[in-house]
Amino acid sequence: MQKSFRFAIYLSLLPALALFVTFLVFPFFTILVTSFFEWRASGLRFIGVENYLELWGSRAFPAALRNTAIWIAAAVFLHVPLAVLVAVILSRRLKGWKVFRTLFFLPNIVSYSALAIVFLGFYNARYGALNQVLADIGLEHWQRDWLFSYDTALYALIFTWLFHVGLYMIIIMAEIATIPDEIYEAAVVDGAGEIKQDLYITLPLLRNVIGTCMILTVTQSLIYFEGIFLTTGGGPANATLTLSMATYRAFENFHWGEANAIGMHIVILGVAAILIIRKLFRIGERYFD
Amino acid sequence: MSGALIERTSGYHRPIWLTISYYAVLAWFTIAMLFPIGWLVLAAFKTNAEILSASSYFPIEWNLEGFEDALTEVGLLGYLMNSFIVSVGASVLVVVAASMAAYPVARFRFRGRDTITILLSLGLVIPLTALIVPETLIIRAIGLHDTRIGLILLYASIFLPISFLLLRAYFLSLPVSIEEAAIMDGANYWQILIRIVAPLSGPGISTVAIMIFVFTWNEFLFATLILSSEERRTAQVAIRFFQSQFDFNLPGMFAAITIVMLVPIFVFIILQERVVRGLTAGAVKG
Repeated sequence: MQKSFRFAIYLSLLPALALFVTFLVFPFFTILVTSFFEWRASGLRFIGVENYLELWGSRAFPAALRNTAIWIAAAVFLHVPLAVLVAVILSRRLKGWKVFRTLFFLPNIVSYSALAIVFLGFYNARYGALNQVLADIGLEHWQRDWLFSYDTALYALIFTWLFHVGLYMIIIMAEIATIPDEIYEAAVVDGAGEIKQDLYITLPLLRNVIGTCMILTVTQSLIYFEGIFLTTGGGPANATLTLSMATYRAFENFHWGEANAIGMHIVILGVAAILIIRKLFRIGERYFD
Repeated sequence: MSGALIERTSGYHRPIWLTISYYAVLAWFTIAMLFPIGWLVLAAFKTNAEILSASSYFPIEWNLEGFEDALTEVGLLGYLMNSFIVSVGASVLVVVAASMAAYPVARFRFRGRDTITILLSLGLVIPLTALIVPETLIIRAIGLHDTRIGLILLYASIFLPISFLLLRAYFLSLPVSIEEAAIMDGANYWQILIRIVAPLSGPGISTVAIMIFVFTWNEFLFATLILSSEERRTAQVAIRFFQSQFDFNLPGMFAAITIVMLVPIFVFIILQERVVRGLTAGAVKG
């Protein structure tokens, strides 16, 4: 039956492939090749792996690697599990669940640039909301310049990603809604409480969608840029320098070859993460022929 | 399927400690997410001196000067309209293209199927900041620099991998029985895709479309690079200039940010009813 569909299938794939090749594959190979070149506004010169060696010997690049790793760990072990928790709770349809779902999703419709200004205000040392709260509850000695102190800057920025939880929550709730009721009815008859139902029925069935969210969050961590660029710019003293921020810095300084070499690190780490997550969550093991 | 989830809990009484725990999680989450934004919105109604003194959360006197400054000093409404046109165009284009690719990949065996999935998965991690130079040069080369079409095409390409993977996962979760019956009845590929799969995929497709709308609305790096003229500037690009324009006028800047935040939230609240109906009533379950 499928042979007659073959032409239609390839035609159906065409628009996506055309966009993909023009705007992602071709630019990607451009940066792959030029990561082995000294590429400045003046021109290209082949220098082998020198861009890479310089990066590994530098002080900023290892800091960027470390900060990115911390960010990814937080996304994977805090943000996605939180999204699952909230999605499972709201799917129980407690009173007001629709309001909560809307409230949690709404910040995601706010632009990163606007949120950057929100958090510049929230964390501001002089008039910021966070220091104001600390003063009001008698914790003045905890006050600090959150975004511009070396010890707190990275964690202050990672905290702002709480907004992403609302996005993953919506995706997971859509998946929960597709689980047939009969499965739960049988569990209720057997006397299983909600927590048992969630642990033994809902959670295993969410494997695919959780894996998808993990892939989204890791790759987003690797390329997230706007919220750092518009607040700390990678400072103080590289405390919030991530791989993507380092790429932009190199680009801005017209070290395009170096920028592309950092970009290649992001590509390789991202591919590794995707392969591992796909394996761990056995994503896509559900075909029919 | 409406009311389905309520049935799940019939005949079961939730213990009170569990109800309290549920609401405790929700309450903490609400505060952590909304306090920073709420604080900024309130600050937009304060005077500059009031903000700097950090004396209270609510304005002593509700002051609209910040909003006046925001609306008169910068061409805010035009920027928002530009953002809207680009985001709608990009999400429609990407959902159509990604569905047309994700459906056959999820359902049929053909040569190159797994290669396409792997390639598009790899596309997810292509670091966009590193593509600045080639993307800008390509857009220039095809004569689309400083056009909305150029930015829409670029956005559709950037968000194609994410849309493709989500839609593929969604199509994989759909029951196949109806499509099989249609094939038995002699329906061709396009009839199945347009008449059967698309109407049944409302929840998945609308969720992806909303996500892409948000992503493109949020994007500002490529908008800055592609749209150089001021009359095509999107709201994100404009925000970068707020910081210098409103240098010593915090209420003005906060009011401008509030307006930029409120418009998409308002649009979403209107759209949401349709989306929620789709999420709860759309699919046939197998």
